[in-house]
Formats: sequence, structure tokens, C-alpha cells
Amino acid sequence: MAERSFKSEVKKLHAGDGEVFHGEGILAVTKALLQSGVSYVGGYQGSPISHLMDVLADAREEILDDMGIHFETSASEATAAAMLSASVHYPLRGAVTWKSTVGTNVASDALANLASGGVTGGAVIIIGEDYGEGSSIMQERTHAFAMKSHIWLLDPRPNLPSIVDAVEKSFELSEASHTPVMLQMRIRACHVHGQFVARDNRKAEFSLQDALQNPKRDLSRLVLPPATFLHEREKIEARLPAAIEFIKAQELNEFFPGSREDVGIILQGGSYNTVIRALEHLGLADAYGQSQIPLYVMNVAFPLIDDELLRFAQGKSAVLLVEEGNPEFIEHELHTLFARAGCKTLLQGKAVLPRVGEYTTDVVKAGIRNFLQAQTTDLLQHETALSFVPARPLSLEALSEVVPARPAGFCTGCPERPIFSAIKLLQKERGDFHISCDIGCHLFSILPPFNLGATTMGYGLGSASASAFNVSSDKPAISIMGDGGFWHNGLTSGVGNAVFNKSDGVNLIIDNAYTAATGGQDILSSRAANANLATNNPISRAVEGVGVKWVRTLTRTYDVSAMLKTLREAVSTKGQGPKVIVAQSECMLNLQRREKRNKRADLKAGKRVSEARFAIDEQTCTGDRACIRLSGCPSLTVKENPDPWRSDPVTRIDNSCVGCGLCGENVHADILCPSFVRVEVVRNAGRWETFRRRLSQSVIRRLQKRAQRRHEIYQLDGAA
Amino acid sequence: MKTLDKQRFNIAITAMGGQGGGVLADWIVGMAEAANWHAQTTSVPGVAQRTGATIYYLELFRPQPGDTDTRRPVLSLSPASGDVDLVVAAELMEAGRAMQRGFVTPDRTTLIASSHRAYAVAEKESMGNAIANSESVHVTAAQMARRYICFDMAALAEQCRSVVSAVLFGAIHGSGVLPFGREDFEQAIRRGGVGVEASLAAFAAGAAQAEANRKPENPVVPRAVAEGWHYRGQDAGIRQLLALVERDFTPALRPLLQEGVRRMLDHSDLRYAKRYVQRMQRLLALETEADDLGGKGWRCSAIAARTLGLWMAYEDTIRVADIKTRSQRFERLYDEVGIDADQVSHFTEFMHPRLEEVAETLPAGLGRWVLRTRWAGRLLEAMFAGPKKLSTQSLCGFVSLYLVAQLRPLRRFSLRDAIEQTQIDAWLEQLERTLVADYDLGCEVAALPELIKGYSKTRERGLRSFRAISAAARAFHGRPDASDLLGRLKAAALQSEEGSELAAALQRHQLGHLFEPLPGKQQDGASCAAQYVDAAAR
Repeated sequence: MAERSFKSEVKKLHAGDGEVFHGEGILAVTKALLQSGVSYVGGYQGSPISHLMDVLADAREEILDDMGIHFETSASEATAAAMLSASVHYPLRGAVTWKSTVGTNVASDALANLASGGVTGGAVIIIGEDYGEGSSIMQERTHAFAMKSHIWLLDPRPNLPSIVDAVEKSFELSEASHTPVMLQMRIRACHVHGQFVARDNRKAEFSLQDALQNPKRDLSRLVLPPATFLHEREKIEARLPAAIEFIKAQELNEFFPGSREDVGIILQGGSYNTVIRALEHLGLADAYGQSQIPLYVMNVAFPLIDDELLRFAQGKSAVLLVEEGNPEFIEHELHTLFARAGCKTLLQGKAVLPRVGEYTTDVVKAGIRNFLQAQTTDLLQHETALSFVPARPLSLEALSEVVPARPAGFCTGCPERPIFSAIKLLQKERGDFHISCDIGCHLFSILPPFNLGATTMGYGLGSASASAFNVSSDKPAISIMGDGGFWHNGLTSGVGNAVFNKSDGVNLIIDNAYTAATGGQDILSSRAANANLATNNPISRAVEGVGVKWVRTLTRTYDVSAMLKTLREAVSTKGQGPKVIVAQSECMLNLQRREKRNKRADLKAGKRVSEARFAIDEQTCTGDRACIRLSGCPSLTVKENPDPWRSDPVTRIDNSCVGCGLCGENVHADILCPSFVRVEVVRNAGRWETFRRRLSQSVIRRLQKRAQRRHEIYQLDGAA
Repeated sequence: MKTLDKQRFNIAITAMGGQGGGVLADWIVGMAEAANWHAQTTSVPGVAQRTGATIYYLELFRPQPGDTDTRRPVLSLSPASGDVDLVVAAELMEAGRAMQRGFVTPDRTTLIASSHRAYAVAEKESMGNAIANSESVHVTAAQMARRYICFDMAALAEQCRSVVSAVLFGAIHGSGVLPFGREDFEQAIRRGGVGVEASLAAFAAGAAQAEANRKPENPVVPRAVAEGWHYRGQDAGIRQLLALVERDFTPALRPLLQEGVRRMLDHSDLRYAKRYVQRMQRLLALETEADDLGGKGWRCSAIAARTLGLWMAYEDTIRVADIKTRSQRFERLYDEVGIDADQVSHFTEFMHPRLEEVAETLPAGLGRWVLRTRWAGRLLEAMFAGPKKLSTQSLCGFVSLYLVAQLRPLRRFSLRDAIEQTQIDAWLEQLERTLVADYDLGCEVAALPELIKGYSKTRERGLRSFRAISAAARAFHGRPDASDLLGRLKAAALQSEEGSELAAALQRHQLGHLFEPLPGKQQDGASCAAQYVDAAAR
């Protein structure tokens, strides 16, 4: 199990009818799944939906088993999407989740198959739309997948009651239209803390066992011609009308009236709070969302409900469409709709709003202002500067040269850092290599101070993306993969591919025992025992299994010299197929969580506890900071040089240091300065240790006093 | 709309991972919800790593008559410029970033910031000094914030053995921005249930400091200018030497010289201090000539007193052993990890002497022979060089370093001393010649040894830049812009370890040949060392 426990969150999932649930948006979704009577849940962790998975993983005994719900952490998003096939023939409700669009990319084969044949039981995909500030992936829209495969896309208003309602309605919509449904949650909505009135959790009437006892097959649901042609027709002629019917009947989209008759705003549910705040700033709405401008809120972003839209546009001279992201699919479709229906209302969207980027309050405010200035004769006509936004004084401009960028980087004591120190040292010896990176914490190697890595093509594709360089060279390509990416697909797409094609490249697999970047979840090669999952399947055995001959496993990444030696050997070995180095050390965040707990317990029990951290002799440090350029550890920082004769800052180690030992290893591997010292503090020391300590200290003190005498004669410390 | 402002309080918290920004947000929300307010918080935490900055955004809305389950205020999920009442920055540059993003406006925003710095990688990894100027943030904050409360909250948190978030929470209370009483704040901490006592202490400290509305204490810490060293001892030789300094050097230079003397005594002995003063006397005489009796304030001597002093007090094995075994150093380390001398602890020193460093400690002739003679080098290398871990709290480890430190009187016969003194003399000779011809260029040359820093390979890279620029200085002789050019070369040398920028800059002046390749990368120790001696002799 991941080292962090979610037991307190699990408790919240018990909330019954009428109880007020307090928590994060993504937890509200989790609770809503239980209220909807799901039979199975799967997915692949990733920001911003990780918590959904983490909480359910910890909820197995307490909730899921009782309710007959199967939860699993899928091997990949493709696995998760394929899992939904349980809802094809059986009246089983199921949900899967992932980070999008990356996860949807991986899942799209299964999704397209699922959407073609359609479903019987409600199949819902919770999409963490990782777009805008805080996103860690390419900026694309999941909307495109919804359109191409005909999967309905819900985008509810970002408050907990609306979100929970949307989850429950998603299942109904899915069943009513025999179509899978995506529910899109933006980053901030996933993390928003709010409350809603809970309903009892609902156990499914038809169980997974029931399905296995009464297996069904229906050839018309299988994706094989001629059924595929039938499916295409069904999507348009049967499922779409059914969906529209349901959406209209259930009033999933919302009309908010306003006093103005001539203009209106059409928006996605997810943008609702932002639009209201922008209107409030412009003096056109109050804090409760009472707007002068009528609003049509599309909690269903796909499909569009033509007659609702036309009804909203009727009698208005112009409507503004607030549609975040690009391409502007809704705007295109709306133009088509207006043209076909002969609607003369002017539609503006990206004409007054930016084509790209997150729609923040400031952005939306400017867009609405521009729209209303042009399309009305009385609103905001004299508004030239947006209210509240002050002039920027010169000193503020000057800040741009002062405030440093602060990209994310490896944590203090991270076991991956020494691997990149070693690669940096290898490059100092041999010159630069082509390095192909992957997705995961290790991707921070591309940033200073390491500056390593040329491309990243997707999760688990580090090795695959070096496959073109399968040519003879004294500097083979080095590809990097994390254990997460390796099990996600890298074993086959990368390592197996390299074996098959007789590649001579170097594959570095970073095995920190978890998918660390997503919050430290377990995977096949995790080393802790887990009652519910089969762990302890070594990566080295897997690669040997697909035919790798040259495998080296290093069990302590902090040994920079050994890592460097292994890398040297790997890049100079020829003709043995791909070389795989498995670099193992446990993720420091997880390790610390466990160790701190154990140490506290030991300390209380009076057992010997030793804690180490590093320090620097500021007198021998000359302020060249070669150590920082080789490490970049957050605890390795600087301070003003205590010697007034030197102007360059000296290195300092702050007390966040966890004593991982890398600083010492780097001193040895790169022959740095002699300023590093490891200080180990022992608590509850035994008698023998204390005695030995006293003995040596008495001699040391005597010798130190002797040396001190010289200073006394010279009065060296007698500076005024 | 202004009336609404009183109903709603918008708060942005910017913190780095591990600073407890999430805890702080939870305290505030908990406090507001306990008072039946509508409260919402959201964040953009990004990935799981503990680095990078996270923004937490909160909106608190006072309950209104007529609120029902269906009639609730619409709260925003992200801060808008000009619409934030309180910005809380757990680190100073993050306060700067919040201002850049438009969250801080003069009519509205109270800015609470901790004045401490968590340096960004770009600031830390620079070869020179790239630390951002905190004063710019203070100046802008004074203009942009309605009220600016800034003090070192990290230090205060450490005093209270708590975390910065508790001090920030106290500062929020102290600022009086939020309409909640002290009891409400403290209750929120108690409900959190973790480390309550320490958090409450830190909260109280933060509140008191903020109530006093302290301006940032000492926003610019003036660097302690080296004061002169006033010798109070009885040694006749030292007194005599200091009298000489008093007699020959102007009041402006005297403190520098006195400090230099102290450093030489600390490093070696009186004989060495005398040598320092003699070298400075020579330079001063020339400068007096070149500079029209000090019309320029003896700028060159002032620079050289420092660079010469630092160079002469070079860090060889003996020096390092000396520093590592001093009692003050032990005390400083105990202090840093927060223990006292009686507690059981172990120091492990990480060193990696190469054959060069071992040979340098030998008498000059013997050292040179060892470096020239392959088998002797190999033998010595096997015996003394290589990665070492040494425990300075164990008898064996301490005594071995202590003995090395006792070699100090013999240092002047060592190979290292011979190498350093040759180089220093060559530099001084060039400095003297340059000074007479081009005063400004002379000053640049005087400052050049600043490039020589660190140990072993790092030091060699510094020396390489130093030699290349020194040679360039000779080539620039007679050019009116010579000192500017030299300054630019020096800046280029500080761009990267590899020195590619310096090489390129030299190339632009057709001086590319001055940039020597570093002694081999893949060669064995002995031949590498031989090259090192050759280079040093140049």
C-alpha cells in the first residue's frame, strides 16, 4: 500500500442520507460513485484524480467488500477503459478514471471500441482535465475524443452539489442512451473544498457474480463488420436522440434568466464560477450569481442540445460563447447550427476571447467587456480600464528581473538525483549523449542543474523513443524510464522492442518502488508486502524474460561511483543487445513517512535511535558551489559568505536534510571539496557507546586546548 | 459592489511544498466554517514533489439573511487581479511573484510575507553571486500593498520549534484583516490536533510581531566591512609588524592590512605575515607612483590586500586538517544540529585527496619527484589518495588529522607552497607592470584571483580561467578599453564550469589559443599529475 494512509477520508465515504459531507471535489465524486450503485471501479492514478484511486484503495475492507464493489488499480488507462466492457452486456454500473488528455490518449483504442458497440449498464469515465495553471502535460482538450467516438461529455458547475448530481446523472444518461459518458473535472474543481448533502450508498442489484453465472453474448455489440456499420448508424439515429431526450427531460443544462433581452452568454459548466465573478467585477452580477445577462450553462458539453441553444439565442442580437481551450469545437458547431436554422443572432467566442490558455477571471472579464461594448449601446461603454486593475508602477516591472523561476524538482534526499549526478559525470568524461526521457519524477533531470534529456514522448515510451538511434556508434543513446512507465507499457513498447530489433542502446530504469510522481502508489515491482496486490516482481526478471542479456541491478542509487562505473560499462559494451540498468532505491517521501513513524516509536520505547544529516564547514567552503551544480537538492542551499573578504555565497545545508548521503558520494565521485561532514546524532545511546565517546572526547578536548593555546598567544580572535 | 467586499474575504496563500500551506488553508477554512461562514479553498498542487510553489486560494463569505441550501454565494476558484484582500507568502520571492501576478493592489490587499529566502536553483547553482535582491521586493511591496507585514517567520518558527504556517496564521490574526477573534484562531489550531502546543506558541509569536506591524527588520543587511584587527598580545614580532603597517599604510588601507596579518598568522606564522606585508609594501609604492599619490584612493592596493591575502592563505591539506580539528568548529556543528557536546554524535568527514594533494604536502623536491616517477606516484596514491571517510570524533580519525595540522611550520618547504608562491609572484609581477601602464586594467588584474576557488578539479578550472584572462590582459595592453574587456572576460568565465563562454569570448578577440584544455580526462593519475606540475610552473 502507498505509505500515505487515507483512512480518515474513507470514513467520510460512509455518510448517509442527509449528512453533510465536507471534502475535496474529487472525494465528492468518489462518494457519488458509491451513491450511484457502481459494481466496479478502475483507473490509473495521476494528478488531479489520484485521490479517487487512493481513497478507494484504502476503502476495500471497510466499504467496497461489503458493497460487492470490485476496485482495481489498472495497469494503464487502456486497461481501465477495457474494464468498462463489463457494462456492454450486463446491467452493471462501472466507472474508471484517469488524467487527461494523456490518459485518454492511451485509452482511446478501448474507448472507441466501447463507444462503437455501446453499453447496457452505465459506464462513466471520470476525466481529470489537466489544463491550465498547474497542469503538467501538453495542453489539449478531451472534448475531441468525446466527439470522435460519440461519448457524451459532462462538464458540471464546479461546486460539490452540482458535481455529485452530475455523477449520478451520468450513469442514468449512459443507460438511457447506451453510450459511455465522460465527466470532466478541471484541476481546481478536483481540489476544491466544499460540502454537499449526502445520500445513502447504494448496493448494485445485479452483481459481478451474477454476470459470471449467467454469461451473455450479443454479436451485434461486437466491433466487427458488418456490426460496425450498424453501430455508426445507431450512434446518430438512436443513441444521440435518446441522449438529447434525457438531457432535456432532466434539465441537465441550466438557463439563468437576466434582465437583458438583447444579449446572453453561453458557457461550459466548469467556467460558471469564473464567469459570474467576472460579471460581478463588471457590475453585472451579484455575489449569489444573479446576473443581468442571461446565461445558458452547458453542464453537458457534448452533445449540444440544438433546440435549447436556439431557444436561448432567440430574440437576442448577440450571444457570447465562453469556451475554454482550442480548437473551439463548440463554437464551430454552434455556427453550423445557427446557419442551418437560419438564426440571425451574432455568435462571438474566440473573436473576443483568447484562442489559447486558461480562462481566468481576468481573461473572461476582458472578453465580456469587449463583447458588451461592441454589441450593446449602453453597457460598459466608458469602461476603458478594467475596474480594480491598478497601473503597474515601475518597481513592479523591475521585479521581473528579480523574482527567480521556481520549477518543481527532485525532493530532498530523492534517490533519483544521484543517478543524474552520475550521468552528468559520465558526460564530463565522454562528452554529451543523446538522452531520451520519460514521464515521471525523473523528468526533472531536464531542468537545472542537471540539464539532461532531449525528448519525452509519453509515459513508458522513454526507451521506445530512442529506437531510431539503433545504429552503430561509440556513444549509444541512453533512455530513461521509471518503474511506473516500465509497467505501464515500457516493458513491451521499449525493452521488448529493443531486444527484438537488436538495439545496442542503454536503458536506465529507475525503480523507486512506487509510481512516485502520482503520490507513491504501489506497482508490480513495489517491495513492500501488500495484502491486496501482488508486489515484489522484480523488473530485472521481467526484462530477462523478454530476452535482455545484459542486466545490472544497483540496489543503492546513492552510490554515485558504482552508478558511474556501471554507466561506463553500459555505454562501452557492444553487440549484446539492449543494456538494462535497474537503479533501485526507495522514494524518499515514502521512506521518510515510514521511518519517522518508526523512529518516534523507538524513541518513546527508549531504543537507540540515530539520525544523520549533513553539514558544511563554512571556513573551508570557498563558495564555488560545484556541489550544487551536481546535486540540486533543496536542502543544499546557500548563504552569504561569512568571510567578509569573499563575495560569493557559501553552500549551506539546512535542517530539512535527511542525510541521504549523496553529498558525501558526490564529494568522492567528482573529487569535490573537503567541506562536507555527516553529523550523526544518537539518542538513547547505550552505556558502552557513551563510555567510548567520553573517553575519546577527553583526549580530543585536551589536544584542542593545546592547539587553542597558539591562537591565544596570537590573540587571533581578538578582532575589535 | 464595494458593500460585497465586506461580506467576502479573498485570500491567496503562496507556499512551497513542505511549508504547510495546505495546513494553513485548512485552519482558515475550519475557522470560518466553525462560525457558519461559507468557505471554499482550492489549490493547484501539481505533482507530488515537495518543490515548486503552490497557490492556495480561499474565499470566505459571511452568512447573510436569506441564505438557503439553494441560495448560496458563488465563490471563485482562482484569484483575480485587484480582488484579493489578503496575500500570505511563506517566502519572500513568492511575495514578489504574487505582486507580479497582480494579486496585490494598493486599495485593498494586506501582504503578509516571511522575509526569509528559500533560494531557487538558478540562484544557487551560479558560479558567481546570483542571489536575488530582496530589497526590490520590499520596495515594490511598500508601493503595492495596502499594508505590508514582513518579518523572518521561518526563524520565529524555528525558535518555537514549529513550522512557518503557524507563524503566518498568527500574523494573519495580528494583521486584523479577518473579522475573527483570537479564540477562533486558536480553536482552529486545536481542532487540527497535530503539534498543537508548538503551533499555538508560534501563532502567538507571529501575532505579536504582526500587531507591532514591524517593517522588515534590516531589509538590507549591510555587509560587515572587515574591521581592523587590534592585537592585544605581547609578541614583540607581531607588534613590530603591526607598527610597520601603521607607519606605511594610509588609514583606509590599515584595517585591510591588519586583517591580512591576522589571516597569515592564523594560516602559518609571523614569517608568512611579514611576507604578506612586504608584498603589499612593494605594490603600494608602485601604486603611489602610478596613482598620483593616491588620488584614486589606493583602489588597487585595497583590492590586492584582499585577493593576495586570500590567495596566500590557500587551503592545503594542512589548512583543512587544522580547521577540521578546531574546537570552535565542533561547537558550531553541535549548534547547527541542535545538540550539546555531551550528547553522543559522530562526525564523518568526506574527503578525496588525489595524488596531487598528497604530493603537495611533501617537501617540494620530493613531491616533484613523486609526481614524475610513475611507481612512486602509484605507491603513494595507493597509500594515501582516494575517497576517504574519516571520523573526527573517534580518536584515530581526530589524531591523524591533528597530526597533519601540526605540519604547519613545515608548510613553507612543501611543494604546494612552492607552486602557490611561484604563481603569486608571477601575478604580482604582472600586476605591478600593468599598474604602471594602465591603472584601471591594473585594478582588474588585482581582482583576478577571485576566479580561483575550490579544490582539486574545481580549482584547476578556476586557475585555467585565471591564466587565460591574465594572458589576455597582457595582450590588451595599450588598448583604451582594456579594463572593460577584462571585466567582460571575467563575467564570461563565471558563466559555466566548462568555460565555453570564456573560450568563445577569447575567440572573439583572436585569443582562443590562450584557453588551455584541462589536463586529461581519462588518463591515469600520475601522468595527469605531471601535467598539473607543468601547468603550475608556467
